[in-house]
Amino acid sequence: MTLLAVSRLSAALGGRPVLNDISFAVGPGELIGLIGPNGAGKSTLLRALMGLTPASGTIELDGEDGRGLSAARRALKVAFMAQSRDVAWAMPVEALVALGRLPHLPRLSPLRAADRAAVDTAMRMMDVEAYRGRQATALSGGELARVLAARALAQETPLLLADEPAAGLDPAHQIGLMRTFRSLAEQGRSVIVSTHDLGLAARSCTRLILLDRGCMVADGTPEAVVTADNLQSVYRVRAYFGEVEGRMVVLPFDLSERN
Amino acid sequence: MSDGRRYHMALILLGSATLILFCLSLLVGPAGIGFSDSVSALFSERRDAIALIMREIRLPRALLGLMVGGTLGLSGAVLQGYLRNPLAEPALIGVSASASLGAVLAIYTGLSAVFPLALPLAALAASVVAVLIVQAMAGARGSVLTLILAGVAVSSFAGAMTSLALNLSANPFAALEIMFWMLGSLTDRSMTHVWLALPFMLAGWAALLTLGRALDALTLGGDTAASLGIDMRRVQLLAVFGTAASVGAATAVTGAIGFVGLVVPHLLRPLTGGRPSRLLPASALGGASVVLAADILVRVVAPERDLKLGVLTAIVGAPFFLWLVWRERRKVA
Amino acid sequence: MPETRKGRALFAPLAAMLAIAHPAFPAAAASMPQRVVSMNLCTDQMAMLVAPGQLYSVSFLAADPISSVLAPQAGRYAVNHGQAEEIFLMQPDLVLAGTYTTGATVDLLRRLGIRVEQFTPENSFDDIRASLRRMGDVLGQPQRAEELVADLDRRLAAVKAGDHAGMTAAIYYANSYTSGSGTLIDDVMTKAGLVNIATKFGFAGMERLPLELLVLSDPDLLVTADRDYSAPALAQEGFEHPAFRAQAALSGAVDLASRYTICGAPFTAEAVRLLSEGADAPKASPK
Repeated sequence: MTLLAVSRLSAALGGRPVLNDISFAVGPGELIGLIGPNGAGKSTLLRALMGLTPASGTIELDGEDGRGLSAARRALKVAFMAQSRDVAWAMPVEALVALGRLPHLPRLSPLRAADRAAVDTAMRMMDVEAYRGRQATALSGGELARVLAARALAQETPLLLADEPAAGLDPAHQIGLMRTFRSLAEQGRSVIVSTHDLGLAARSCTRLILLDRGCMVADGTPEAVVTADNLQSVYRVRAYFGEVEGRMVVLPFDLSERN
Repeated sequence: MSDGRRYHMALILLGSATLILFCLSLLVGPAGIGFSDSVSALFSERRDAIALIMREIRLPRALLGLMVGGTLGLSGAVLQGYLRNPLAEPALIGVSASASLGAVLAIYTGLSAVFPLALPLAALAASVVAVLIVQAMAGARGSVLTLILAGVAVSSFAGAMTSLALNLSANPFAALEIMFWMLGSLTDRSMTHVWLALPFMLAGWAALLTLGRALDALTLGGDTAASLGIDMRRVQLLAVFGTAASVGAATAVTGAIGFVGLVVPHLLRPLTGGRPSRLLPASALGGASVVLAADILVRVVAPERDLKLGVLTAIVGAPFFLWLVWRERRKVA
Repeated sequence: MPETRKGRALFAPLAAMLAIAHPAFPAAAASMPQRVVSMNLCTDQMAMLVAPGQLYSVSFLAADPISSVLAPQAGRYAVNHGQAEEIFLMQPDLVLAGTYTTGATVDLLRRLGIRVEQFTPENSFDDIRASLRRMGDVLGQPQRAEELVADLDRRLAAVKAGDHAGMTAAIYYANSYTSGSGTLIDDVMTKAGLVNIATKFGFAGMERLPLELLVLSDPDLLVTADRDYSAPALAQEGFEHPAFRAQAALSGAVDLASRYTICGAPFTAEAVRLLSEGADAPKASPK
């Protein structure tokens, strides 16, 4: 059962091509890291999958044509964490996380027991239960990032797209976030995470997709994608490769000499 | 006290305040009519002077105070939620300025002297045209910024045209009438005005009240709201046209009453736990209370001088901004 | 009721004869309103002249000595502030208003079943005669109205315009406004035998007269209105301008109280007389 099938996806912003003929498919239980240098098109790809940016090509969500989907139906299949973490009003954390339940709520209905349970589970997974009554605008950047992740988790969708969710988190919480996503994958859900942190992506993800200037350069296991050659040609860096506890460790340490 | 409990208490208080002020509004006027007399006059079949005063003079005034205040509060709350800005108000999308222009043209061309209903109808027509222009300029997928810019453009143009009409008016009486109308007033409105405004207001309220959930989702931004299943294009249409219909109708019958749509949602927000959906009914009731109270004050403080309602709301609105500045400074200090 | 004793003596038999001759007269008598409320300064004064005995209330402006010629007499009547509820409480059988009186109030009064007659502001002596006659009809005092018209004509005829015919005059209000053609003041000036500078420049209605044009035209007579209005206003600054004061020193000057010309009425003839006398005064001589 394919959760997501993308075929020949292309997009342009202001006349400039930003995505070029991207094709891939996502099944259940995958934690996919979307990596690439600045301007590679990672955010644009995620937004195009959500229908927030116009794009050509086909997008199939859970067997249905993404183009024909209403926003309400899409919200039951895919959850999205935007890059900007701007909260307009001083809403209590619990209410903010509960916003994730909106796609499930019938009209005019308040939160039901099942909704409350989902909210509690999500807050527990992201370790934000202690902030339950606090106002969202009074949280630190990292605390807010986790709360927003909890909101996406509360949506309980088979697929979750996250645009740089780990940015600004301390190491413990970065690792914790990826662990949470990993456990989602183990439950049969799938997550696509865009990130700059090569090491984190290589260590945590089951699969990596590497983008460069709008084109898909590689798609496969971390070992297959994060190679010295790819790091040199795409990121223009030299890296140290190692292994700890059976898992890959990558550490870019210098700019590469050759252009 | 829990968040939810505080909100429900606030709603009850606001509702009671509105009801009390509505009744008080019915009791204020040059004719000293006692409470029991006025109540019986309203509900009985009498046709004497007291009944006529209550039904044809006081009742429409109180009803309009309720309707216009509720409209301003509600649309202010919706616009602040939609534009994600606590300084937004209904005037931003150009409705009030255009309705004023329509009314001014009706006075200037002498149409309102010939056909009395020409004034509110012209005001309504002008606000509809203005909103269509704003919506066309902003586009269906228009960002919030383009919407604000389009509204400011239309407002400025309408304001300039109104000033031009005043400038060119060779007739000092017409100029005075224009200026006084623009100050905003509920004096001597009749049930005709109520029936004229009501359908547009009801349509506007129906559109605006459905936006609670969408505004809650918008707390996290347009992209996240869209990802939560909110149809952003529908939200923009409902917000813009709902505001246009209700605020256009309100301005058409009473002139421009400022500050209520800005101040009331702002003041009541802390009571709603930052949830825009909760702010909608609270702000509607708050707006109704403020306008009713102001209209009572206008009749009590200066019964002879016909003090304009818009002047009073401006007098209160300005210190409000000073208080906002002071509060912000305290936070930083 | 007619003012003179002779008139009153004739009235009763006359009315009786008319009652027998015209069966419709009882209806006409019913159209002689007895409890008239006036909401507008100009209808106030006109009603006070035409039918003082039938008038119950005048607007609060009628008692202001700067705007109202009949201010002393205004005290005899109840005061109203132009609001529907207070007027309705007075239970009038007729309300007089101007065409620029607040539409909502006039509308509401009509909805309450009260008859409202609206009068347009007068822009000429012909307008004044027409308004007087209409007021007479509306108040059921056509003879009294004719008497007032005759009085007006007499006063106008008494003005000796010949002595200074052709003298130029400029009227200069606060805020540099002047009155051009089609205004009451223009008609007043014409009847006083003066040539209105504003009309020569082609101004119509109330328009701004640039100070330059005023000085350029070097009028024989400079007419101001209410120079000493009690409340200070930026509008009065024009009168302090050195150019204006220099011109004022050259021209003859007349200060014409605006109350004679705000409203068109028989007393507007007084404005004609004042201008004429001002033109004949020693300082003013044709240039």
